[in-house]
Amino acid sequence: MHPLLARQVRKAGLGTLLERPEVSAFLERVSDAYGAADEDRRLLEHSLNLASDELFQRNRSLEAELAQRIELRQKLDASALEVEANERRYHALFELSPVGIVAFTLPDGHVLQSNDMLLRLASLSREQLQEQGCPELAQAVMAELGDDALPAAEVAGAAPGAGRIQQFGPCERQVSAGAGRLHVMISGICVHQADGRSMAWVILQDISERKATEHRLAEAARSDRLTGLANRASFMERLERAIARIAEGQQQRYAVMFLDFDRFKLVNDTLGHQAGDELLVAIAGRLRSELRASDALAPDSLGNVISRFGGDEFLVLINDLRSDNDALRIADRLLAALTPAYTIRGSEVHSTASIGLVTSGSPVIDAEEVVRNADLAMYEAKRAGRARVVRFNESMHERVTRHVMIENSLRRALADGQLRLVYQPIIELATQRLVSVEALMRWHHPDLGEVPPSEFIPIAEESRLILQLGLWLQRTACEQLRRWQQADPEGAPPTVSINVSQAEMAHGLQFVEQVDTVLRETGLPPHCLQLEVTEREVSRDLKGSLVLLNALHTLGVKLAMDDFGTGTSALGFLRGYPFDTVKIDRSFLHDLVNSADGLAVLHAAVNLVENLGMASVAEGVESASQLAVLQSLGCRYAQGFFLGRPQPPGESAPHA
Amino acid sequence: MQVFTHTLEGGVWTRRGDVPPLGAQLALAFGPRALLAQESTWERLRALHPQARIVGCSTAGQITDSGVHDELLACTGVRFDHSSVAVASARPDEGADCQAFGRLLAERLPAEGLRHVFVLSEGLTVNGSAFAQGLLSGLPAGVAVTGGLAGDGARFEHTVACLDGPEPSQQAVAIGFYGERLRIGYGCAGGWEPFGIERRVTRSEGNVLWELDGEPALDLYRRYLGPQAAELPASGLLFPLAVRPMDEDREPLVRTILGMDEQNRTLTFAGDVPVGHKARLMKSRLESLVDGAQGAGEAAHKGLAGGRSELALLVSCVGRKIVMKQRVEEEVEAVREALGPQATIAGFYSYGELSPLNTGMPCELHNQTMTVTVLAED
Repeated sequence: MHPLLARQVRKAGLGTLLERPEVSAFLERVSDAYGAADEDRRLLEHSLNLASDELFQRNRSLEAELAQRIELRQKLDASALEVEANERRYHALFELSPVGIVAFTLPDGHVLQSNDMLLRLASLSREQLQEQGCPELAQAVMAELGDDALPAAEVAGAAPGAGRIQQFGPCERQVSAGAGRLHVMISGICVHQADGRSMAWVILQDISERKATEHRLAEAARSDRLTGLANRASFMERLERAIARIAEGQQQRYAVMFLDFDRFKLVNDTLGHQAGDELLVAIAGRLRSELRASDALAPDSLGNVISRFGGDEFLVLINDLRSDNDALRIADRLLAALTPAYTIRGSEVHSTASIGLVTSGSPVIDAEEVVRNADLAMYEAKRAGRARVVRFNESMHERVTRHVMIENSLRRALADGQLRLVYQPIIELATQRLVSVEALMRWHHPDLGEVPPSEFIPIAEESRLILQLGLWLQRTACEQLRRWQQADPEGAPPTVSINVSQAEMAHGLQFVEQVDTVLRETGLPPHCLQLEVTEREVSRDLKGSLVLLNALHTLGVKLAMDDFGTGTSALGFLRGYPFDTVKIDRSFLHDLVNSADGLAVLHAAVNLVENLGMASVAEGVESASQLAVLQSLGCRYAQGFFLGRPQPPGESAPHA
Repeated sequence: MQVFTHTLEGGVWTRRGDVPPLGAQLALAFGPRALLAQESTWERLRALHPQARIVGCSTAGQITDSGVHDELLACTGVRFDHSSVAVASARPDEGADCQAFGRLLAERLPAEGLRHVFVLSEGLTVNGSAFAQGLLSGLPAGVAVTGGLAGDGARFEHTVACLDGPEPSQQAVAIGFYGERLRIGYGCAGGWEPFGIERRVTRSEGNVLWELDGEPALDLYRRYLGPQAAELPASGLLFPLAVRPMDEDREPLVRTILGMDEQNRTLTFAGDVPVGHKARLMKSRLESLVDGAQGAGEAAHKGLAGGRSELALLVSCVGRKIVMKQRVEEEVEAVREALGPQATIAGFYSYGELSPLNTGMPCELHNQTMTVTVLAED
């Protein structure tokens, strides 16, 4: 029985009733009802607790989930911000890119996207670009993709290149832009989509400036910077073309002129390098205006070419010649045009040209040989006295070859001891006494044999080797005389005579110093040395020569004028010059035989010299009769084969 | 119409009401399975109702005018003045599935003039939801179905629905009511309230529930039942499930436990508990159950549209009986109050109720409800 009911029954004092079955049954049902109620309540509380817990747990997990979602949301927001930032960055990159970027469909070129730079390059507004598209660029891309490009229209269904990406470029293209054309470098990718469509992303760089620079550089590579004329490479190219055209029969003839200008170095040295440049530019100008050479430097153009090879060398190629004589006429015309003085920096400068001319028609040769031959011809022109045109012929080869050979060998000759001195006596006619020996250079070339001084001295003078030779001559001669003096003080020649070259004269006081040094080093007393200077050398620069000769005189050396009578100097110019001796040129002696006037002239010359207080020396005495004449005329000294050949120095000094 | 009742209890037959001269057209017999299984019972019933078709089923309790009984066999005879009835039966194995089975049964009733169908079915193996759908699909539009699933006390072992005899044991029987002068009303109400969190059916197969929110269903019920878990599956009736589809905001269906599987930790319900549906546990208060019953009665009474009930067929859920225990009769009294003293009340405690939730709605299988079908003749 339910405790409550039991209590109730007890408290009601109804315990005895329990004995009655119907009451008992009834009370049992009541008890059941109470129990049922209790049970119901327990179950309810229990389920309430469980439900409560579950709700709590669920709430917790929801809260956690919510927190998670908030976090996720924040992350998403952050990502979204990042994406936005990236978008902005990308947009900035895209828009601000210094290269043009454009996306368009292929093959029509319908524009999908483009940045500002592209619009600028194309000189279009965005709307215009949208309208026009990029058909030209699309075609360029298609060409770049080549066979790999879009499948033919007939291929239906899935395009074989679905989803494929192809790269192209970088490559150079020209595209229309605005009113003109633009040189661009394009590169990019082409995306072949699965639905058969394709699009291209293209990067455009404007390389117009670069191209222009390249062109300028190429141009510059073809021209001489100073004068604007063609340069060596350019000239050679055009000469080769001309030679080829001759060979193919497309052209009849050409002429090449090699122009050399003297005094260029002088101008550089005296007026400065800028003046030198100005001279070159002036020369170029005269050549241009005289030849009306075309300015086109492209190798294919036919016209004439004026070029500067460097230094003061100019080469001209004449393509339009009517005849071979035309070339000479043109060359003469050039000479005439180049003859007048140039005004450089307020100074008047003369620069005469030597022109070597080669015309086509010789056996076919290469351009290098043509130029070489023109050079040889020019060389001949120079040696022949400048201001002339010399046409090349085959014999020049040999001459110049020898010339060049000698020049080259001469440098080594000195070092290798191939040079030697021989000495020719100068005799006092009255006493037959030896008064001096003239030191003369001799050269035995290992291949050429003996090379006469008349050949190698001028060559030396051209190349300034003469200075070295001169120094050697001085030193060797002084040393030799010294040796003789020490070996035989009584019998040694009183003086030794050496020739002074124009180059040494030009050195002025430096030369004086050199003479002084050699004297000191060799220990030869100055009065034992006689320096011979030709009349021509003196008259080249009267003032300068006077200064130099006075300085030499101050040193104490003896001075002699050589080759007197060969120049065009006035009679009285000898006055004022500190010469001790005057050597009368041998031509005077030769004239004795030929003409009656000859004697009178010789007589006058001797008198002039003697009356001016200088000693006269006759050169080139080759016979007894000549000697007799000289004695009768009162010539003091004489020199010549008859009186003694040049001899190598022996142990003892030469005697008369 | 005339209604009279015979009851057998303790071996004693008692009659209540007058027997009409022609006898009954239809007799409804509700009682314990044991009694219905006996041929002797049927002999007596046939003797009592020689003209009638006798339809009945085993129950989890019998409802009569005198109250609620457990071991009583009640047979209610009906003679209509102007209306007629037809009966049909079908076996589950005659249809491919329960739905086909229901349809088959419904189609066996003549359609002409059919006003209402009252169905009794075997209660443990049939899928009531599917069965109800099948019934509807086999009936003309506008014809409602009420009825219930047979019960077996609190044993949940074996149920029978009968027609004129104990065999076959596995079948469903349908009574069709014909006649224009018939007034029919029906009502269905529960009185259960969902409580606690809404759970999700994460695993189920038809009406076998495996898991709620990933937890074995049996474990959940054991937790909630506490000491009463020992009385599963019967005690499972204390916590029916309110089941509703996830995205719909409709009234949930109430599902009760019919069986359980210890090994799989599953629970078998009287109707489908589809995966993805939401489910909440429900509890009841006696008062609300009684109120519910009253509501059902009132709804049925309204359906008569002015008429007064003469016969009231009550099919109430075994779950309610278990909960209310001794006080279960209060719900019958509440129905009586709604219908008036003139009505003869007959019915049973079932393992599932068949009824539309409201007038005009399709018939569905319900659990834990009191369904009331009332008949009257003009």
